[in-house]
Amino acid sequence: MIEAVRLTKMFGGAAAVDAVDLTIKAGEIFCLLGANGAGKTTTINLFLNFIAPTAGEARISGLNVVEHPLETKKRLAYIPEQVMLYRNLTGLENLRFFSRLAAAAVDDDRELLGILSQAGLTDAQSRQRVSTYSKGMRQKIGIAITMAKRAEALLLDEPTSGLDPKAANDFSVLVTSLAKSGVAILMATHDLFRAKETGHRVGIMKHGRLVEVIDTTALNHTDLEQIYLRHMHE
Amino acid sequence: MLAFLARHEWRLLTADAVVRLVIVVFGAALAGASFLGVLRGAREQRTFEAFAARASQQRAQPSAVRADVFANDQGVLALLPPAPLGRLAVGQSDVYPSYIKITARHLDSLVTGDQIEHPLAVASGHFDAAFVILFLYPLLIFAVGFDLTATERDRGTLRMVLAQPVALGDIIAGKMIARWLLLAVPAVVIPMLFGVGTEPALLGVWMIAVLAYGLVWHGLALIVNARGWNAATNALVLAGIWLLFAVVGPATINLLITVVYPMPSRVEAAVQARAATQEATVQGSRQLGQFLQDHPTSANVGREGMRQFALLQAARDKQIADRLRAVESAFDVQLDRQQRLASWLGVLSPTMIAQQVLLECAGTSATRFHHFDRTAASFQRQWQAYFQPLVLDAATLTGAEIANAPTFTYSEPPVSDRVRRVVPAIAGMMLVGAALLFLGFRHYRGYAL
Repeated sequence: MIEAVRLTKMFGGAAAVDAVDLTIKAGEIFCLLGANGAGKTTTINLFLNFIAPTAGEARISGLNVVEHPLETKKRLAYIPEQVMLYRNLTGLENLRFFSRLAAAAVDDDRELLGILSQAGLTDAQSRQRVSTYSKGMRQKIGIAITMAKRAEALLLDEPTSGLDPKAANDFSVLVTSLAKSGVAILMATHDLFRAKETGHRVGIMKHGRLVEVIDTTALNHTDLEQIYLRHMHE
Repeated sequence: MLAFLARHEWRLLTADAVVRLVIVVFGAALAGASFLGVLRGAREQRTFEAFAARASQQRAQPSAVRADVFANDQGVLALLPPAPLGRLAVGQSDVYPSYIKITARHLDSLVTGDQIEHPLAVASGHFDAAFVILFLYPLLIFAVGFDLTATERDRGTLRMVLAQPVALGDIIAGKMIARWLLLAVPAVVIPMLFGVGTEPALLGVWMIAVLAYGLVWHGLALIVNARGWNAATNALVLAGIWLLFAVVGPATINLLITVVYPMPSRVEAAVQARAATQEATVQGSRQLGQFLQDHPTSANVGREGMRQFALLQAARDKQIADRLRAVESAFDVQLDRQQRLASWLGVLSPTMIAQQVLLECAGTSATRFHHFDRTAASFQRQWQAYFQPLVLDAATLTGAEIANAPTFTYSEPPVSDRVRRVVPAIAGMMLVGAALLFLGFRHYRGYAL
């Protein structure tokens, strides 16, 4: 479970994240929409404990990320816009490194290759150096790290940005399957279509505040776009 | 976890072609310098043995030699054996003589203790293991350490890593351990291989000193990395630090020392010394002329006449010795002042501190040569005390008198003395290195991702 309780982050006098309350249950995909600078990435950074909150709490599986930084990181995975791995290592070697770093139960190369295969990489691709990978292939390694780690929560920061439609769709399918396996997912994105298709709920952020939370089953793509634009024009 | 992170970092480093090249260059430079040192050491040993053989031949010559010819004209060489670990550092051995001609008159080092090294070699320094450690080692520490986290942070890899249950401090420690091992292992092992079988205790101290010296430079690299600049800025700042501490700093200190305590001109000193000798020779010729005028035929010289002549010569020799001593003491006083100031200002540069320590371990520091000078001076007094009465008596030496003449043997100061002299400097470098590492790790706490 991913939880924010009155989560606030001030930079100077300005609130980047302003008293956000949020609960994402296991198996749920919550998409965070908002303009650049709305506070989406700052919210993710707060959950990752890369920055400390000014007030409120960020929790992963009920644990405060500031008080239990290592425990919460054992339970969460993170996929940024660009999954930047060690270029001189192969995909398999990268996955092995991150799995061991996370003290993941999966350690055996055969199992790791199996996970990479589930993420959409062939054995041959997994044994290639990451320097030869496309962005989509690197994102798949990010998914594989999440799977190997058996994360309970996944934070995604504009993961499909720059991917071609097929790669973006493949990625969404993988994210959906992770949610089905019980992972709570918070995905910051600009892609309204993907948010509607993948997310169970969508939250719209503006000036650090979560101004509206919408159930995606209750509306179509056009409705979502209109609601989003209305908030942006207010 | 730390071992795992260090292994991972080691793997990344060794996968990098530039780092591999750095290690090969470092290893080759150290091995080459150490090998040249072994050759130089063997050459010095051969020279020493040749001189020693000549000295023993001199003693074995038949008797019936005039005392002044044996004690003054031939004299004896006080020889400083090559320091076994001198193969790792030339040090002061290209500046100070390792042999001094001893006569019953005076120490003959200033006039005849000639400079045998090519002046250009003396000016530019030698390529030895100490040079590689003092100058190349810190430069390569910076070459592999300027980009500890900057590129990983800028590319986003560090965010991926820190999203795992691992502390930034552990990541940094792993990176530091890998880099330390990468350079410290060749820095310690290669010279050790070339120094095996020499002086184990001093070789051990040498190795500890190298590690302590490396610690200081690793600490500096860590502090610069922790500032959060990009890799190019880190490289520029570290290059500046290296220039300041290893090149400009020592050069400035040397300049300052020579400005504060200028050395009398060595040429002027040699001219004065030669003038003193020449004047005395002229005076001696006049005395000889007078003597020959007083004793027109050899028949009326007799033993007493020879004694009188020896007395005249002794008075002339004393004059030369006094004048030479005055010239030399002007040097000694300034040199002593310079060395005292250097030992104070040297603490500003880790390179100068480490240089003193390495030369002390290698046995090529000024301290050993000064000790040799003092030992030779003491022996000269013995030689003079033994032969002067015989010279003044215009005696012809018997075999027994030659055999009983004092012999020069250089006894090294105890190893414990040398170790004691370098321990504070090594401890100081370790403390500074540890403090820099501590500060570096502390600064990293606020590292912005």
